[in-house]
Amino acid sequence: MSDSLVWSIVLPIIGSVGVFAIQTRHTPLIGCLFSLGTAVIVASVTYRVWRDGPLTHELAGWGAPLGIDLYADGLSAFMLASNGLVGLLISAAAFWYFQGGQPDKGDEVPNSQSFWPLWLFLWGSLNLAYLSSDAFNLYIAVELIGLAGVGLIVITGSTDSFIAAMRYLLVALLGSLSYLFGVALLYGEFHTLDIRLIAEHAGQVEGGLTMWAALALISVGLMVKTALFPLHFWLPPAHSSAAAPVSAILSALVVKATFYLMLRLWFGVFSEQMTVPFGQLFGVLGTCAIVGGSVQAILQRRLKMMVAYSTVAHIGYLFLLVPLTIPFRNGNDATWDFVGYSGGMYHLLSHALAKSAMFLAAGIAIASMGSDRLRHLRGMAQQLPLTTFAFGLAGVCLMGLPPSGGFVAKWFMVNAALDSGQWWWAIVLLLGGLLTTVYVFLVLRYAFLAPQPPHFTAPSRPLEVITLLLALLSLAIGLRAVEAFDLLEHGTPFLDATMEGGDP
Amino acid sequence: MTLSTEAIFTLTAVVVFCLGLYGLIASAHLVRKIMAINIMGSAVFLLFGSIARRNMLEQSDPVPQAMVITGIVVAVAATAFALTLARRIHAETGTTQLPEERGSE
Amino acid sequence: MSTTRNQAKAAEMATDSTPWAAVRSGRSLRVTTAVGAAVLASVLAVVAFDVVMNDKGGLTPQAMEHLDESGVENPVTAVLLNFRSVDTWLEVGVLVLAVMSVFALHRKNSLTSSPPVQRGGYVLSRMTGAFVPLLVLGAGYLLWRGTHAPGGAFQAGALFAAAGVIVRLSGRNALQYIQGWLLRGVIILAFACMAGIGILFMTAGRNFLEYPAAHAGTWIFLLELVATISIGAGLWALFIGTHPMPLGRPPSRTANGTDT
Repeated sequence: MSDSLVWSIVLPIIGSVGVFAIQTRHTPLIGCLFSLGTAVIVASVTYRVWRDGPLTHELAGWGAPLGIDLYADGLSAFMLASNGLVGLLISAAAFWYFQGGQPDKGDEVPNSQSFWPLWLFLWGSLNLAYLSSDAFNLYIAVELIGLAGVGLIVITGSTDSFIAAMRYLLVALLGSLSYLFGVALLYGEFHTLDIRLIAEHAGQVEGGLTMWAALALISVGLMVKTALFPLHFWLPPAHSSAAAPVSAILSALVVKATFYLMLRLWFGVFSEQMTVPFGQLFGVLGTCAIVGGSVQAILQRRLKMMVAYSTVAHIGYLFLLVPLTIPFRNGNDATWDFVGYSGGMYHLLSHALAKSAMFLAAGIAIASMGSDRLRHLRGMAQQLPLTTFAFGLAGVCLMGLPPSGGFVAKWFMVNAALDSGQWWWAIVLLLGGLLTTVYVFLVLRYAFLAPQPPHFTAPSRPLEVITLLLALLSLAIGLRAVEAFDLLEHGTPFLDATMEGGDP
Repeated sequence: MTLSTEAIFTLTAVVVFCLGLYGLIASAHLVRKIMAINIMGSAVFLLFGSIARRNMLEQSDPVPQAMVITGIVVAVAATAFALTLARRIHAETGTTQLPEERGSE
Repeated sequence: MSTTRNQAKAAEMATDSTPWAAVRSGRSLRVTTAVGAAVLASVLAVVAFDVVMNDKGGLTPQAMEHLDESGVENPVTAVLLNFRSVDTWLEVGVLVLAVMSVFALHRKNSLTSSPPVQRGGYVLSRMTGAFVPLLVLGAGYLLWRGTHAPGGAFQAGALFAAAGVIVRLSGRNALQYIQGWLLRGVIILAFACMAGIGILFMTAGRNFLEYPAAHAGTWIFLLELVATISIGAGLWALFIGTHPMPLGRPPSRTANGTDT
């Protein structure tokens, strides 16, 4: 039965409204239990897709085009599973993070009471975005993700976070309206909202102007939300002013959701428009993001801002997937390049793990050392060995050194670039790795300096362990990637095209 | 040549959408920005309305109309939160503009 | 003064976050934006005109075909509460999420500490007394009307909220002393009920939110009734919540990384 698709959306959301209505001392524990339940369901969905292929659930029993379908193929399952793994560990981290130092003063609500409903709702909305096959339903999912993300930023209660959240909210609303305009055009053209049905008919449209306009509106709308250079200006303040687990959630999971939607729509609905110039354009934007984001990261003097700019750079890597997937040389009858595509997707997973570890490590360091200026991190290696180790390991993954997941991803992407004769993307990939090395070592340099006697507060040990676990996982996934690539092949968004191309 | 109702709706929707976009970028006051977003939203709803009305036989298409109703609720909720945030920023910093835009108006 | 300090800090933050800060000022920005918007408008006008004027059909035939099985007479209501009921469920969810975010912003879980409004005069309170029952009656009418004509839960809920807003503006603060848990419970009620019913149908072997055709009308009416109350309460809470509320302690004003 396909009920588990529904459960993976409904369970976290029910948990969210439950802990919102009934606030008790045990909210963090209940939140963690719901996270665990969601992760289990998501794992079962992933396994089912891996074993049997795509799953469908017709919501309200009508079926597309009149109703709304949930649809899980390899790509959806991959996103669900990555999200579930990282989300579960971040939940555990948040359990420890929001515990200490939050006394219940008067009628003021402690952070944990605000965090859990918003985070569980966000998780449900992310799962909805990965599963829904209806363009308008996806608009609601995107709005939910945006609102929950903004709500999570403001729970720190700092003025900076309010300003960053306001900017993020305006940008998110603008992005979703641009998307919705594109959806209106698509509905006008195809009189259905189901993206699989649209994809079936998309080839028959005469005069591609409408399609190009819809593509532009939808892409710009989602690009703004994914913070692709040059539309990334809102991201660093927003991600750096949030509490550590929230930064981890935003950088590791939220920006990936809109990226996923772009892939889904580009290679499904707009497969006719996926031409070489289109791919090269996004390659160039990705390159700008890698170089610009990395240079900005190197220039930062604050730890979290640096990590946030690193996210801008790594979003650039994701977009290199586009030119590497679109067939470069062989004209129209060529197939999509699965190697480049799966390399990019693997980068998404390893970045999610490594970046959440990095943000949590940064949060621990800032809380313990009492400052987020880089130069105040002297002696961090001595006082916080576990956290420094986790930060370093996450850095290894982001640099793309073996045996990390980042290495596997980069290996596949470089291979795809060389095989298709696009050597320039290989250079960009390697250059990005070097730039990452610079800013990671900037942090480690201070960390290994002789300690100055600061106001040091001991961190929560379980929190350190979870952070280290995330970092270790980002390495471990480099050891074995076969299953993940198998999963991605189960009904990729362009399965039909691949089969047509491979079948003379 | 006379324009049909749907044509007028469509053109209005496009013009209003772009006016909203201009307002969002060019005005610095947060409440103006939030209003601009709402204006853009209304424009998209109007476009859905004109899509619903075309080729009306005995009944206009109910699906875009339902989407408009849903969209309005989403817009209302987001606007309410945005206004709350704007008022909070005003209470904390004494200004109603984002820092990078201060002094441009 | 802490305000100026904040402003200085915020300005500092802006310079290292937006490299465009210098570009984004004054007249040149407006002219560029205006030209850009005009160009965009002309392109979009061509495209949208083409899409709307070409007869490409719609979902009307499918919707009319299944209208009899939907349990309501109005096609828009049928789409909202049956064919695409999940959209409506999530729409109520957006409202709940907005309330959650507003409460998170204020670090409150009720509205009891929102500042009172000055008491209104004789005329105002008399008119409130006359209007509020009318609004509630109107809400009931819209709800009932929704089954066979445009109207329904959201419109009725908006009237309900309007009644609450008028009560508030006329200087009666009674409504906001509702206990936090009760208020939150009412706001999430419709959302939770729809999810619960959806799951109930699903465990009975149907799909999520797939009503049994014979009783669809009854279920829809019950859900609309609950949704009216929840939407009314949610919108009202958002209105009150827009006020900046007094805090238990001043918010922390550190720059980045406010990890406490």
